[in-house]
Amino acid sequence: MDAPTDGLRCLLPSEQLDAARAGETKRLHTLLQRVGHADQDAFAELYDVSAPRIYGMVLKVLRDPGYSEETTQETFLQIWRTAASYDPERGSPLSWMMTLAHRRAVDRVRSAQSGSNRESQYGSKTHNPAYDEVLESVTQRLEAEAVVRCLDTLTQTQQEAVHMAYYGGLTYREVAEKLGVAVPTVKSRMRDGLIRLKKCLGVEAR
Amino acid sequence: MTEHVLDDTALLRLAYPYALDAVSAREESAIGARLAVADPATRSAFRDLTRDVRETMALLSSASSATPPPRLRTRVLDAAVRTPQDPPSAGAARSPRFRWLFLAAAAAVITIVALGAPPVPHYGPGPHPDTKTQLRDTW
Repeated sequence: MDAPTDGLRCLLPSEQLDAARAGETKRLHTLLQRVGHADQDAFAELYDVSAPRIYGMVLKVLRDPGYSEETTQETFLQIWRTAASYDPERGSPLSWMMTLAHRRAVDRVRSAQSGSNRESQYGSKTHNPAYDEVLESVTQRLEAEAVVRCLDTLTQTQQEAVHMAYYGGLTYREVAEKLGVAVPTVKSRMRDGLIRLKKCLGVEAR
Repeated sequence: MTEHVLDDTALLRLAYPYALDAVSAREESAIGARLAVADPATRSAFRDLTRDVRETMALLSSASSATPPPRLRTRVLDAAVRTPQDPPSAGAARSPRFRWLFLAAAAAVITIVALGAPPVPHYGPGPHPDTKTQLRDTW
């Protein structure tokens, strides 16, 4: 059942990446703590640091710039309201913020699904802004390159299952139905793909 | 077909789609209810799996970043000035990450109802559309 996933951490500057991630986590955590005390300057800085990633992901899910702006705004206001409740034990600041944003984007997709002609087929009209134009730092470019390489270590069907769920806003049962494959098969593809991606990207199990 | 009984193994396998926000609202409730009565080790394993998937997906955002229009920054910062902050506990209660903790009260009822229900509630009764594929692919 377990795909061979060992030795997949194939990336060149992993120490550099690890250090950069740790630095960013620390920076975001400090900002969130200040935001939790109603610090407007910290909130502006947090926005500047994380808005491209939040907006970019939301845009990939919703594909409509107007809805994506609204959803990004709602996400940031939720971050503003609830920053004091952020608990580092439950995940990094980036993960917390992306989770809030993704949930909102998916809720929007699902509430708009009926009567919408949104095409959620994998690969069709995927909104893919040129990522290099917005990356603010070498670190982020390294991270982006790592992501691209790591996605390549997944099989086509694993990529497809994860992509349809995460960016298509589909449930795993809907993914199975769209692909015409069995539900357990889709679940396995997602699971194996995510395990592989996690190892490749060096997300440490705590 | 799939999980008629959500044992620990099945529960932990659902952590992956759950962390991707890829379960239906009904299934999410069932998972929450099941977690509420799970032993601490299972609950903590579920939490770790979920957390790792979310960390992984968060890293993916570096490859899809896109600059929002400048007006959004103005709107967000202006709105924050007018928006009161929640006290910490209220914020925690709304966090989607651990919403299931707050579903504990409904645990028993929901477990019975949801787990006894047909596995594909959204598509109605009748034969599953991929029965043939399923037979071929089940393993």
